[in-house]
Amino acid sequence: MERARVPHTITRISRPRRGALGISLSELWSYRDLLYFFAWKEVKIRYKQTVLGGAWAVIQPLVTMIVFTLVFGGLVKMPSDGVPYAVFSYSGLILWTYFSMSLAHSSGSLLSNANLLSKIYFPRILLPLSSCLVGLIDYVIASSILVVLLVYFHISATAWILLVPLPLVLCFLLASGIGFWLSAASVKYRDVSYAVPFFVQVLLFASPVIYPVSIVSGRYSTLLSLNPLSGIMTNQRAFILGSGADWGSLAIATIVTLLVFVLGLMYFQRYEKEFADVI
Amino acid sequence: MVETSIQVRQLSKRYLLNRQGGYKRLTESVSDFGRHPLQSIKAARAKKEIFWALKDISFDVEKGGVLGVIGRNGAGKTTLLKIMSRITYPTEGEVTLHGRVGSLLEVGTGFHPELTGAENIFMNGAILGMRRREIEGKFDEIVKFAEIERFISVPVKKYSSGMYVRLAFSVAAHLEPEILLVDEVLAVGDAQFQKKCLGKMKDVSQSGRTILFVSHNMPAVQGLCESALLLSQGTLVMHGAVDKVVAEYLRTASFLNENDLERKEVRRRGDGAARFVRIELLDSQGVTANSVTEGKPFQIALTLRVDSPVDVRIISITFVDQLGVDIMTTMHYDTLDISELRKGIYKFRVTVAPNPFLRGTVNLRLACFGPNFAEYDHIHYAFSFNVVPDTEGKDAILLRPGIVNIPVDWHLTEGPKE
Repeated sequence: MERARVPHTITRISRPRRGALGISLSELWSYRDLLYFFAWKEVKIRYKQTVLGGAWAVIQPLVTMIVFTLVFGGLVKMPSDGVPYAVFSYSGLILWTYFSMSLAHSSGSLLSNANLLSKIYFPRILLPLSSCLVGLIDYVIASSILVVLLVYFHISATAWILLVPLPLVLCFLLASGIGFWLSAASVKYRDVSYAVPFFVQVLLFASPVIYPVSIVSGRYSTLLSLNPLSGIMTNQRAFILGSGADWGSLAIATIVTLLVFVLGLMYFQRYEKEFADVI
Repeated sequence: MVETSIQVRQLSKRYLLNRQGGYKRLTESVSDFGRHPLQSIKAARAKKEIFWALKDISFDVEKGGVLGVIGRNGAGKTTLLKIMSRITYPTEGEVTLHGRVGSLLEVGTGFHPELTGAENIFMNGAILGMRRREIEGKFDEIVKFAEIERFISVPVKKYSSGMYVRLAFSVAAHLEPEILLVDEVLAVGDAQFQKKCLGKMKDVSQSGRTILFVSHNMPAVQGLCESALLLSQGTLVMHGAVDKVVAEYLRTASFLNENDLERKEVRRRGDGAARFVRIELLDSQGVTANSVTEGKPFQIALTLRVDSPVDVRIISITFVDQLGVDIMTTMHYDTLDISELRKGIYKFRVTVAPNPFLRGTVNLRLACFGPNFAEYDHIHYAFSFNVVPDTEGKDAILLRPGIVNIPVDWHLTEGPKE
């Protein structure tokens, strides 16, 4: 069998040193195919033996949007910054669905692959990372409904829409950062699997997904602006509807997200070498 | 000059033994303390129990060498392999590996039942560290070696266990790393396929790759390896020519024929509320023995010490074969109705009649549990004995296939009329 000459690799294995942030990008790069296969497997398996298949990616945010539109748009008369509430909530909900699903999957990704962890080496970070990548596909599928809504309500897209990937990338980094932390913690503390759904539920109400930032005032608004999801949601909505960017909240969201990502990564790295002994 | 492929220096691995399982709930320790303050302090102290799975191991393997690693279950073989595979990390010492490493601790790691054979080849190949292009290049070879051409687009959940194992080994066999670490993969599959796997591994070794092969299958080790390591209780006992090491292993294999369970080498878990102190094997004549005869009855005499009144729910003996597979478990409540035990010494006599085990080595695992599976005592390798053929029986020269032999009735119901 012909095989390309691989450079002479030397692996040294010794007691892991605490505190060293030793992420090897070249190693991650050499495992990029595995990252792809993990994500690909998730997609393949997720909708096996379901009748509706990929339609579930649309049904979840769509039905939530309809319910919220009936309750908040119809009954509560929630203000929505002058846009039809359906468009307002759906443009937030697709990103929210992505975020919450990513969190749910990535936080459980190590435990559900416990057998892999104890039998084979690969960069452990690929597991929570691939969980957060898979959701992007659902996001794209769910976006198609958004296009339908925009057409129906005669809202025309502007050049701002080209910036939509920016809050999406922030959302991915935020979900990954929290996912790294939760998945690593779940190996030692099974409480995590109980806490996550609850945490996500609370976070929905602490983020401007189904209400605009403008209705929050006083000290709560300062608190809200520190929630990175606030800047992410507000700007993604603004980019979609063409109402321009809110650079201030975007900057805060970027800083907080990067901080969460790096801290999550550090926590993960600190404990990953103990996973197989504890899980 | 000889090139070194694997360098192991003063390698040690320490585990801190936990009371039950490895994980804990945040509040568990708090609530435990609230309910049973004394017991939880005792447990916390017991939790600090240190156990060295490997102690000060050093050896080298030169490039192209094939090293066998043998030893009893629990000797540290798998820990050694797990450290070299970077699954777990050493407490002390260092391993240096020169070249791409492929490890095969289990056949079919990462197989997903819902995916087809072809999909699993890619998935499993990627997990083992192969690049996608590499898998594509070897795809046909893998399928052919596994003999599953017709079923390649069928989900593997529909596969027979034989097909599953063949496919899994085939993917791993085509990994072509410079250093291959293999743990007991030949324990699966039928004899013919085992032969094929062994042949494949020989090919791998002849192409200049380094192999570390862990096995209980002595003929396989002798057939494949030039040299071997003998591990015992986490230490390196011997390193040398394979035949000498295998001979030493077989000579010392009977070290578990020690009746005293209080000796310090016994590895056990549990809080000791009830504790096994002695085990003895009695042959069909009622005489203390180290071996029993196929088909003849035998007994196990077990002594349990209880220091303060305790509620015992399960006392069990598990018979484990030489590959570490559980053959059967017998529980005290099968025939005995006791649970509340007062302080004192309890002696049990367990009769197995007739002996269902076929020739070979049988290991015994002892366990004693209280309510909610509270672990009082758990000894993984408490004792082992040999089963020898009955020289006067009908099976004297025949090696009956199987693991056990249970009495079965044969009747002739029809034949040619006179």
